[in-house]
Amino acid sequence: MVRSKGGRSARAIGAALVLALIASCSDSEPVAPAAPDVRDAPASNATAESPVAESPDAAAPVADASADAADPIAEERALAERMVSIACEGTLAKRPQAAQRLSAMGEAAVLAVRQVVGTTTHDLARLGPDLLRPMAELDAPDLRERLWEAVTDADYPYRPAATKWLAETARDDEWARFEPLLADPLSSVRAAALSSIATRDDRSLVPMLEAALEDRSDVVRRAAADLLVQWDRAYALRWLFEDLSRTDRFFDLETGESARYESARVLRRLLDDRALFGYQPGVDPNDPANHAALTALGAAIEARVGADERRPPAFARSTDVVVDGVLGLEIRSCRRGEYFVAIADDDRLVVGTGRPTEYALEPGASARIADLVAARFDATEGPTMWGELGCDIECYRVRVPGGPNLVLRVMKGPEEVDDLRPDLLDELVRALVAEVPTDVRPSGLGGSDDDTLRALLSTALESVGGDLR
Amino acid sequence: MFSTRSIIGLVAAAVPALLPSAPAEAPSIPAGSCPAASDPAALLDPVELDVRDLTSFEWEVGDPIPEDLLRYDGRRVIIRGFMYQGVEDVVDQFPLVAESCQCNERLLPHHFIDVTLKRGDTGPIPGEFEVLGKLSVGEVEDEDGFVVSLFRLKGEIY
Repeated sequence: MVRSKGGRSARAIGAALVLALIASCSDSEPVAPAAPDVRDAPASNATAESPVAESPDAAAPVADASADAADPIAEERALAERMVSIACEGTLAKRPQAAQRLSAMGEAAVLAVRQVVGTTTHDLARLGPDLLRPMAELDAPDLRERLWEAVTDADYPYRPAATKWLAETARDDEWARFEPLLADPLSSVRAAALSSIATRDDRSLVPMLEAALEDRSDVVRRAAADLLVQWDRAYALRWLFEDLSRTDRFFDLETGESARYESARVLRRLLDDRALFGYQPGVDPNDPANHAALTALGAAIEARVGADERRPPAFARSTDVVVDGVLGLEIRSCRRGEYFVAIADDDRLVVGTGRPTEYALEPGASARIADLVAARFDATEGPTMWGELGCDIECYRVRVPGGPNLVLRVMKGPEEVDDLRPDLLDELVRALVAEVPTDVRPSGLGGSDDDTLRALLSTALESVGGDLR
Repeated sequence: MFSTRSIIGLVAAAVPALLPSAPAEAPSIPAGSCPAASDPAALLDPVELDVRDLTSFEWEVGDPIPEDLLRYDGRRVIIRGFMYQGVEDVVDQFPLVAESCQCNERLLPHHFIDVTLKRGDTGPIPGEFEVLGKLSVGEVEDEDGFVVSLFRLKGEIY
């Protein structure tokens, strides 16, 4: 198993902050501490620190940080440095709260954040995603510019979070910089960028939100519908309502159920809890009580929408499609996006979730993959995971003759790791990519219109498990 | 073959039948001598939940916890979710979260269940799994005023 190096670098940052704190506390003059040279620390991710056993520096009570402060300025600075430490290295729940406190602290927080952000997006990546909020919310153009650099660096792993905080604090002169993000290859970036439209509060931008209702990603469609309903475009409720009866699956993955939970969460906020008539997203939509709730909710939404006839496109409608086959590949890359691809039994390539797109494969493609699986895979022996828990994932769902489906994962955190994919899976995924027709250019899956599915898959795979060998 | 779940269900169903029915006066049982008797929640069938049943609400520090979630306080539950990606080593405590990837959203205290294993420990677990135990619902603050959790579960991996 590959071990993270995150602990060392995060501790190095914490140690630098402690040194800065000692320096500031022993001097009555407000002297800016020397910035730690985080570039010398090994590449890693501060969030890889244990979420339940934080670093000693971050765990110390906040009061300790300022107990010996000689004056209020030094005291405030010490407190800000402690908040930075907690935002980067604290326990899971404390990080966003420390970040929020920093946003309210003003100049002391600006100084403390400047000490740790380094000079490159690589430096910034080591701090995790929570410090991005004060970087956007504090009145510090240089920190904000660092966020913009990160957002435009495809290798920065927290682009969605950086986009979200920039969008929610969008400045009037930044509009041109948000527009490309609305067409970003990552659906989570596209969804986050939509908030920049909301902050402008300019109803002439409604068509841009309506265009996002046609996005192939349900994440983006939900974000657009949410904002449109907030702008009194009640017809967008229909997009959210469609998700509530989804029962689609990708092999064992309950993609429809996830959509139900997400849309129900948004609808509860927009309509309030009682307006869902007791609908339970975790219960089958065909359950009698849930079905009755959906019927009542649907009627209420139609009554609210009135005569407006705008409805979701076919690919955004409720579905019960179950994707299955000889091999399923789920790729989740924080840098290169998410892909769901399956080789079905009858020489079909199935791409996407919900209502996926299908392509014809060369005759015998499914049998070739099945033969490779039968020759190489054993349902009862061997490891099922390589790497460490993280959100960069290659998940292979392999149908082994005479046994249960194998679920094999290559996983890692945001740091780059070479050659993580074992030879066995490398051979399998190369075989899969080789079966993908060279002329398939799926729309709405990220990349430009010129990118073939083969190229997109290869790039995403390289960003998780390393180069295809 | 009996699954663990079916055995627990049978035991949970049988225990009330083995106890005296509606005693006029509760028998005097030393605290801790009989977990089932001292903990009425242990006698009930565990409630099956998805992490998202608890975490899919809007909340900021200072907001109340919805009533329909408070009703799970003290109940035995089986909760399905993912181990937080930051877990690297063998642990006896870990956050259970709704998605395998948490890069896109900040994780506030209402976005995870703080799981403590009563017996043994575990290494990192990929994919979705279930934990069984007693759920505690309510804000816990540390000395600095940070809310460190809303949901806690003491139990075991199912």
